[in-house]
Amino acid sequence: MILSKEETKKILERVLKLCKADSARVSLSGEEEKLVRYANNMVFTNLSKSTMNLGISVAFENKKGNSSTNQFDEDSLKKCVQRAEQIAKYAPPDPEFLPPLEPQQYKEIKAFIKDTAEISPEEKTKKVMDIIKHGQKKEMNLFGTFSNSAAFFAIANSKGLFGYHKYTSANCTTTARTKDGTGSSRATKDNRDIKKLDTFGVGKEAIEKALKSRNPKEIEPGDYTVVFEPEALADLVLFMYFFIDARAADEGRSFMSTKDGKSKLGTKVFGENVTVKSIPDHPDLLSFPFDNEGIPSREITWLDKGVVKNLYYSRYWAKKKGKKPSSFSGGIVMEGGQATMEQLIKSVKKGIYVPRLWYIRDVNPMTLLLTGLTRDGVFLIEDGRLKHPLLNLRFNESLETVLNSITMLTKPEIAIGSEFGWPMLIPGAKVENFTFSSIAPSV
Amino acid sequence: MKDLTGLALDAASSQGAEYADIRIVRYNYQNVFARDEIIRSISESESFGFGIRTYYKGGWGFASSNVVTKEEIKKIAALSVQIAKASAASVKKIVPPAPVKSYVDSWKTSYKKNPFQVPIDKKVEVLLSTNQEMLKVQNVIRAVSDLGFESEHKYFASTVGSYIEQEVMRSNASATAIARKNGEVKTRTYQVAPLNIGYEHIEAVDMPGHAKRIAEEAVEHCMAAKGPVGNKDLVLSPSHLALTIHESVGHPTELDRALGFEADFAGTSFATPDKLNKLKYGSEIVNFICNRNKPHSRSTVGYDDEGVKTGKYYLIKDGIFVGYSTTREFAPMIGEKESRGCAYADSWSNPPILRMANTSLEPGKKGSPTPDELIADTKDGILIDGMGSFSIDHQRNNFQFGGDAFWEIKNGKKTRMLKEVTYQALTTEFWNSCDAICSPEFWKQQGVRTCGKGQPMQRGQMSHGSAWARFRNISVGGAQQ
Repeated sequence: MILSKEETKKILERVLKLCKADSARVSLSGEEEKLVRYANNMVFTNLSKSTMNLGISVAFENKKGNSSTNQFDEDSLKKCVQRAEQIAKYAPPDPEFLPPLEPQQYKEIKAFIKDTAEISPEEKTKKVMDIIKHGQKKEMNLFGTFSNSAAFFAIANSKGLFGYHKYTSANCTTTARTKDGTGSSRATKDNRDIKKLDTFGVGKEAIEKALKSRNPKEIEPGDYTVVFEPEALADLVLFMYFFIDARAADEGRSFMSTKDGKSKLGTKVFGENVTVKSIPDHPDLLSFPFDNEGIPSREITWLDKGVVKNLYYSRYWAKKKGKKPSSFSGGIVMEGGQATMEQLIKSVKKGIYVPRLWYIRDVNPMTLLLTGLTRDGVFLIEDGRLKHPLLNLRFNESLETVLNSITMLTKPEIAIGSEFGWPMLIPGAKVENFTFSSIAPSV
Repeated sequence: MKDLTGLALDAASSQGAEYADIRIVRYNYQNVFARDEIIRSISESESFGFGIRTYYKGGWGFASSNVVTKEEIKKIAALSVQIAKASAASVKKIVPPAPVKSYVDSWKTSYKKNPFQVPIDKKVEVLLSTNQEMLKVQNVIRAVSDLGFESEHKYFASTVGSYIEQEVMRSNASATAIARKNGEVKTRTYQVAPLNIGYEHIEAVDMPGHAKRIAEEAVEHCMAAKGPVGNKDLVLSPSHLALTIHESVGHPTELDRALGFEADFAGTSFATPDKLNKLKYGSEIVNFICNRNKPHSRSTVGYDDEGVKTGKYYLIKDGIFVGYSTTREFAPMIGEKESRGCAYADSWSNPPILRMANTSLEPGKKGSPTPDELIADTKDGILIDGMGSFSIDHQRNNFQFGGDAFWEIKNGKKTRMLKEVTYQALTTEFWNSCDAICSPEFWKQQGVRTCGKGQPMQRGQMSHGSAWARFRNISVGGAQQ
């Protein structure tokens, strides 16, 4: 269910009044999610979900308790508050407890588009059918989704802080597989405004690439120059983003720690051409104005020309270290270059084109040695052109090596990796000496 | 609840639905998390709502809401049918769902102590004493532990006349020591098997009693020699094999994947229907059985989320691929007359999807080796315990696994700890290399609690049991630079 700012404020104030604890923080979120999923050229899942959830964190001095509910009658709200307070009374003191934040100023990020929230199931199914009909003409089996959602998130606390954010998103994906099962490709696009989402274009792109990907050949695993589409690079860069906790780095238990247990903050870890920022209000991303704690989002440069410029500081660790707490609000942007994807390919004597990665896991979290696989349309590059499709490959490569081996970048574009589903602004990249360790005979 | 479920089914039928079902579910969760000597979080949450699934001329519709009132139920039933009708427009050939019998029944997880009634301070004490024991070991820089409990109270009703009430209780726990020595940071985890059971499970496992051992092994792991590169025999423990079974046997034998329905996200399967009863999936001693009736296993229930009575069935028999996990929607697509009861939704807000059941490797016959005998019979191998890094391709052929702890086996003896061990194989090569499985008394269950599948993504939970087993000549160390 989507509530207005005023309706939300009313509920949160009502809940705060019910709290007897010394301090309290409450959050309220709701979502209307609609999704059409198709496979083998027909719709097989089609749904509409309506959810709303209230979370409460209370504390008596530094003894804390949390509870949540999705029921909003007076009795349920009272019980939810009582549950949190009961827990807090029995909880041992938390020496790292911090009282709720004072009221904050939040920048408004206009991310709610009415048309996105209101498209009908019939209209969505019709758009899906247009893609399927086109695919059938090309003798393809098509699979994918077309989803739209409207949501809100609000926070308030016993010190008078209040924040409200409303947003929409629309996403479409198409996986095109050739009837003989030897070719496959996938395309995806994401936008807050459903009118800007070219669903047919996404389907067409997947179909055209799949046609070229038939009958892949084997290649000997080893070190290759690789041209990554932005979607593939997004997954790798996001892995780095989950290892930027300052406390873990300071305590010597992170990729961002040196061998002798010190933080890498301020040191050059990656290549000159690696600059990664969070820009939550970037017009192409329109992320969140505040995080779960209520910390206002702000632009943060994480990596500046390969130097670890900032790490993520929780409120507690920021206070201890005399730093400003960070917000964890998305809006990730990696700076790019001026080249086009065609120019990247043209510059490669012998290499591999990778549109997408799959099932990436860290093998060693201290070195960020990652493993994973290619998926959906890998090609051999020879003498500056795509020569023929290849069977998929497993890689084992450290992220440090990858981000020190980029020799060309395209302009950034919005891409969503396979692993995390976060839209980010990221370039395509040419990476030298990327290690593939075995063949995956799967299409 | 019968008046509400009846209202939903009547409303859906009056809008033209040929079939409809409703699940009204209340979930309760409690989680306690401790870091070092601090309880960082204690939380309780509840989630209550309903989902209505409808079928119309080959098309399915689903709609859900957290507002459980008569008015909302009528509105959501109509929306579900509207969506089913929109889906039907895409259907070229109607394959009706497999028939299901009508059941009026109730079913409940068997447990002794309701975890939600166990005082919080008892749970706090378990975690803090576990962490304190870990922190006593020199070079342990961090100790974390957690307890988690879930209860699920579900009412299911369908237009075939079923009305089923079920109560599921789930308990899980884990503890991890993080050590730092010689410039290395390594972890070791004691993973309590997640089961459908009460608090008696937590009391029986004695978490503090395992704390010192795992802390010492975390430190030893920091000083261990690097694992070898080449081909080795692997001796794998049940707590390790659970994840390998999940990824390389459970998923490829889900029929929706084999028919391509997960191609856009979770992936498909190499084990396509043309290979049924032909493919030599494993060696002759390899038998995989699915069982949603096994007491306390994580996906054990009386009826699945389509109202199908659950049971057991083989996936692999004497090494041959003989069956799939199925639901009403997919079973008829390969000519099967009934579902094997594998429909599961992780919330009232999501539609049921096909999920592997509790999938287990049967133990060796009585008289098969003990783990000690298996090690004594291995000349040049590696013993792997616990779950670590895992990755498998989208058709479930090429996988690479790590583990939580590794030991070298030389001339029949477990010699020293190793670090950075990974093994890589193709699924059928791996299971065909299995030459020994320990006897039934060494069969143990572990489980998976966060299996992602479907769009929108849902979280599956299931158990995987096995005895210790040996695999010959497997490629190790491929991840090393």
